[in-house]
Parts: sequence; C-alpha cells; structure tokens
Amino acid sequence: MSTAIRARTIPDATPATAVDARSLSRRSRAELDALFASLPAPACTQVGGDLRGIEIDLAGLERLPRALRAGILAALRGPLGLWRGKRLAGERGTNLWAIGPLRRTFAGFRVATAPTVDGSGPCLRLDYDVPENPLPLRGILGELRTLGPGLFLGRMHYRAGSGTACLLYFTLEA
Amino acid sequence: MSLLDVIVVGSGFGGAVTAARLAQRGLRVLVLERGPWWGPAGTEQPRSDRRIFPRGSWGVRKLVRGVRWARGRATRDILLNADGLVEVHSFEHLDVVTGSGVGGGSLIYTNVLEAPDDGFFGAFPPELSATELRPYVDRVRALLRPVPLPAPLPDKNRAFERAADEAGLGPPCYPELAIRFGTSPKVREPAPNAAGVLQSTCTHCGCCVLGCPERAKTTMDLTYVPVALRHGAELRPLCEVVAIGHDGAAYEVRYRDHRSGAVHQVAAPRVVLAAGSLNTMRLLFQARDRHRTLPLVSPALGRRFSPNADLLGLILGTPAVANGGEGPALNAFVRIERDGGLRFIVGEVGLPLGALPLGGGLRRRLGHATGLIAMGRDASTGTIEYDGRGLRSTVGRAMDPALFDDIERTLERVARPYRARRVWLNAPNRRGASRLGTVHPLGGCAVGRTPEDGVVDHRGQVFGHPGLFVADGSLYPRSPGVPPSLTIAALAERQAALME
Repeated sequence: MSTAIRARTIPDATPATAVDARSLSRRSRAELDALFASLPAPACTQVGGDLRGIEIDLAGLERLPRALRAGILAALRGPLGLWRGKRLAGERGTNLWAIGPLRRTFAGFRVATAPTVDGSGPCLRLDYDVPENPLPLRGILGELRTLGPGLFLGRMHYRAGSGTACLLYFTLEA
Repeated sequence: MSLLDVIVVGSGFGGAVTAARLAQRGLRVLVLERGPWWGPAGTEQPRSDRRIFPRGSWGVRKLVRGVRWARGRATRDILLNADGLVEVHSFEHLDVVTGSGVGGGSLIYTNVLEAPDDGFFGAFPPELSATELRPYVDRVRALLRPVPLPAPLPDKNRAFERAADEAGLGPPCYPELAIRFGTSPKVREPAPNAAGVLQSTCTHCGCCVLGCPERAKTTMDLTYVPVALRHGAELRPLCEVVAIGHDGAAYEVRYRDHRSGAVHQVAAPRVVLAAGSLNTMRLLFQARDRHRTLPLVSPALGRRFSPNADLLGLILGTPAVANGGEGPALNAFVRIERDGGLRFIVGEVGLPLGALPLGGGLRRRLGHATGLIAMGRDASTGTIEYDGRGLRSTVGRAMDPALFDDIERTLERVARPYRARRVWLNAPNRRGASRLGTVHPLGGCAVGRTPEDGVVDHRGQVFGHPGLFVADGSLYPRSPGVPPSLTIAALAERQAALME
C-alpha cells in the first residue's frame, strides 16, 4: 500500500460552473442570452432586501477588443461605478447608488412574475414605468432569473416604440 | 444533472469522517475545504494547494486567516489570508478561535480523545445513546489509535500532579491522545498509521496547537481524508462555500476558489455541512433568512449554543516548570464532579513556545510558564443570531456565572502550588470578566426530536430538507464538558452509516 496522500479528481463529475462577475463578463452577448434562457425564474418571495449588483455586459462593448471591454467593465465594477445594486421589497423595488460616502436610492420599479421580452419563459420583471420616475426612465424593463442560491442574473431592456433593445446584463447577490 | 452523490463542506472531525465512509460505500464525494493542506501532510499536494505551518517572524503572518467581528453595532468580516491557519470570531462577550485547513480543527486541537459520560446523552433523542454510539466510537479509535502519554513524562506533568494533589483534587487522569509515540521522544520512528499513511513519532516539541511539524499528531488529513481520497473522493482545498440552496432536484453549493478568485457552483442530491459550528450556522442562516433558498430550516437554529465553558489560566514565572513548552500540549486533567456528575475538567496545557517567533530571552522566561485549561458542562442556553450580514451573540459568563466562578476558584487552587509570580485567570481577559474565550463553539444546530427543539434529527439530517445534513460540533444539544472531537467524529461515523 502506498503511504503517500494522493489528490484525486472525479473524472466525469459535472464541471463546476463559474458564476463570478469576472468569469461571466468574459462571455459573449450570445452566450449570456443562452445562459439567461436556461435559468429558472425566481419567485417574488425569494428575492428581497438589498442586493449587491455588478454589471457584466454593456451594449456597444461587444465590438471592442476583449481586453478593453474587460477593462471598462472592471472599472464600472470598481471606482467608476456608481450603481451599487437594487433593493426589493415585495412588489416594489428601487436602485441603490453611491458617490463616495453619499448613498441614495433612485429609479424605482414594480416587481412581478411575467414572460420575458424574447419569449423564453417566465422571469421576474422589473418595470420602471411608474409615475415617480422621470419620463426617460419609464421605458426601462428589467428581467431577473436565478443563477444560484441567492444569486440572480438580470438584464435591462429599453422600450422604444414597438421594439426593445437589451442594454446590459448584471448580477444581483443577496 | 450532477454526477456527484454528496458534497461535503469542511474536512474536520465531521466532514473527513463522513467523506471517508461515504466514499468507501462507493458514493461520489466532493469535499470543499476553505483552507489549504498544511505542513507535512501536504507534501504530495500541488504547490498551490499546500502551505507550511506559520512559523518564525515572517511565517507568523499566515497564522490568522481573518477576524469576524460582531461587537457593538459593528459587523465586519476581515479576511487577512485565505490561507491562514486560525480564524477569530469576536462576539459581544465571547472570542472564538477555530481552525482552517484540510483536517479542520484537528490541525490545532490538543489531541485529546475523550468520550463524555453516559449522562451527557440524556440531551439527545432516544434513538441516540452512549451504548448505541459505542461501536462508532470504536471505529474512530481504530483509525486514530489513541493512547495515553507514555513514560517518560515531561517535567511539567510532575508539577501538575503535585499541584492537583496539593489542591485536594486527587491524581490527574491521562486521557487517550491521537499521537504516535515512539520508544523515546528523542528518536523519530516513522511507520504507516491505520490509514496506511506514513507518520513519524512525537518529539515532545509542544507545538500541537499550532500544527504538528513532525507528522506525529494523528490528524484528519493523515487518516480519514486519505481514506476518502483512496476511495475516489475529490478534495478541493482553498474552496470556501458561500451559499447553499435547492433547485428542486438537487442542492446547489456556491463556493469561492481562493486560488483563482473565481466563484463556482456545483450540485448534488446530498450535502453535508461540516464547516465548523459557526460557519455551518452562518450558511444555514444565510440560506434561510437572506438567500431564502432553504426556508424550512428550523427556528431552533442558533439555540443551545455553548462555549463548552472553556477557560484558560496562565501561570507565569513558576519555579515548578523549567520547560513549559515540552510534551504534548494537553495530556492530563482532573475531573471535578458536583452533585454526582461531571461539572468540569482542569488540565495542564503547555504553551507552544517552539512555534512562536520569540527571542531567546523571552523564550527562556516563558519556559517558566504554563497554562491551565478548564472545560465544563455549562447551561448551554446560549443563542447565536443573524443580523443579515453576520452572526451575533451575547453569550458570555452570564450564561452560567456559578460555573465560571467555580472554575476560576478551582484554577486558583491548582495554580497556588506552582508558586508563580503571576497567575492570569480567564486569559486573555481578566478574572471575573463577563468576556470569555473558547476554542470549542458547540451547538446551534442541535440534534432534536422535532423541529421545535432541534435543527437536525438523530441522523444529523436537517428537518424539512431531506438530503441536507450537519456533521460538526454544532450538533451538540449541550456541552459535554470534555474535548468534543471524539464524539463529533463518532456521530459522523454513525451518520454516514445511516445515510440513505
């Protein structure tokens, strides 16, 4: 018998899925779309409190060189980013912002389970069409799905006329 | 669909045992351990996965992994080194020190394997008794092969025997220690242990509580973990679990790989939480109250918490001890009984002088120092709460003041014959202080008959969440008053045997 301690790997076990912001931000828009389509919708009761938000993809960045894109996203996650996440309470929610020590909430939304814009099934919809929002914000429509325990993948659309455009992907962590 | 059968979180006395026994049954087991392989046990592991024990003035920076601070209105988690050896939890009136690494608490415990008396099991459900647990205790003993300290005894033992006698407590007992002893501490005699892993023999260096550099201490990373690996289990070191949930088909576990910084998710139909009492409780609190993924976890979570009435006394400047750092750290104790049952034990615990970065002068002076440690059967009515960010607790002396006063009086009696310059009771706090320190946080996920009085059933399965198990010190429904390691391991043996 060998007296050494040998590390082993389980050869055909499901590989661990990377879900940190850096790994997700390396994915292309098409890969993020596919990932989002494969995820389940959370129940309203599963999402609540202050959730830390991280942007992982922004419209318009996909044509930039990979390194530059990663750099911009890292800067948005770091010192340049003002958005800190979302606060959800039942059927209402708002966004959390910070400039240095100054913290405030701005841009509220209604929360409800509804189909996604692309028809890939139900999601938790964040609808910014509420009276307290400035008019330009009311076109924003968010969608959330469960990425893991206490972790959600979200995306933001902007409604203009009869069409919508996906502006960004983000994660929210409880 | 996951091809894993079980994910085990932690590799200490509970996790390593469960992983080994389930792997032996042919299950596909993945062990996630937040710390690295430490010391000689990691020699065969990749460089990124292993660390040498924190020694010397430079190495000591790796001693503390981090501090979880929850005092006053502040809650802070300060991670200093993901690859540090010990973690400090600082509550309102209680400081807790726990181990981190492959082998968990076994890396820094005092090697004592002591079973509690039969009366302790009165707090467990009727399915679990001292008699029923005995075969599982024997299995642990068969793999760890504990023995009492053989002659020649270090000088400090003679001093402790005299002190106990003069204090009227009778002769100390010599408990079984999970250490390989050779014919003499001056000679190293390597040989395979019961797990087939090469172990050396004890040189009486006294470094037990900061990691044995000799591979003489029979820790989990030298016994149960190799058994698990040999039977196909996979262990991922430096992988810290941050969240658990259930997706309807399997339990999902999210962990941070400290080697790469990446966060991953894995899933399996069974998860065993053996991350140590406080970390297991935190994961369950987060899952129930913050992530809302395990909503049925019992409201009893956090109750029946106990510091095992640990209390340390330091004897400084005593002529009775010339080398207080010599010999296994804790190898003898006296039992103090009240009303016909065990109330607490008092043992002599040497300082790990060989492992500390001390100058020659200070080292010589501390050679004339030693410690007394007490563990007791306290009221175990403490509570751990969760404030949305971290754990909080007000547990301290007020939980059982009569016991702690009794312990301090007894320590003072035992210390008197040492004729020391200074006796520091309740170190590192002060005598009579409400603040205590412990290395044995127990309870919080107590075994119970129903979800109203416990978090898990007698098999360690979480009420309301089939397939989710707890296997560490948090299972204790009350403090045993003796070192808890043997019982944690035996309960894990039983749990693995009963797991479907």
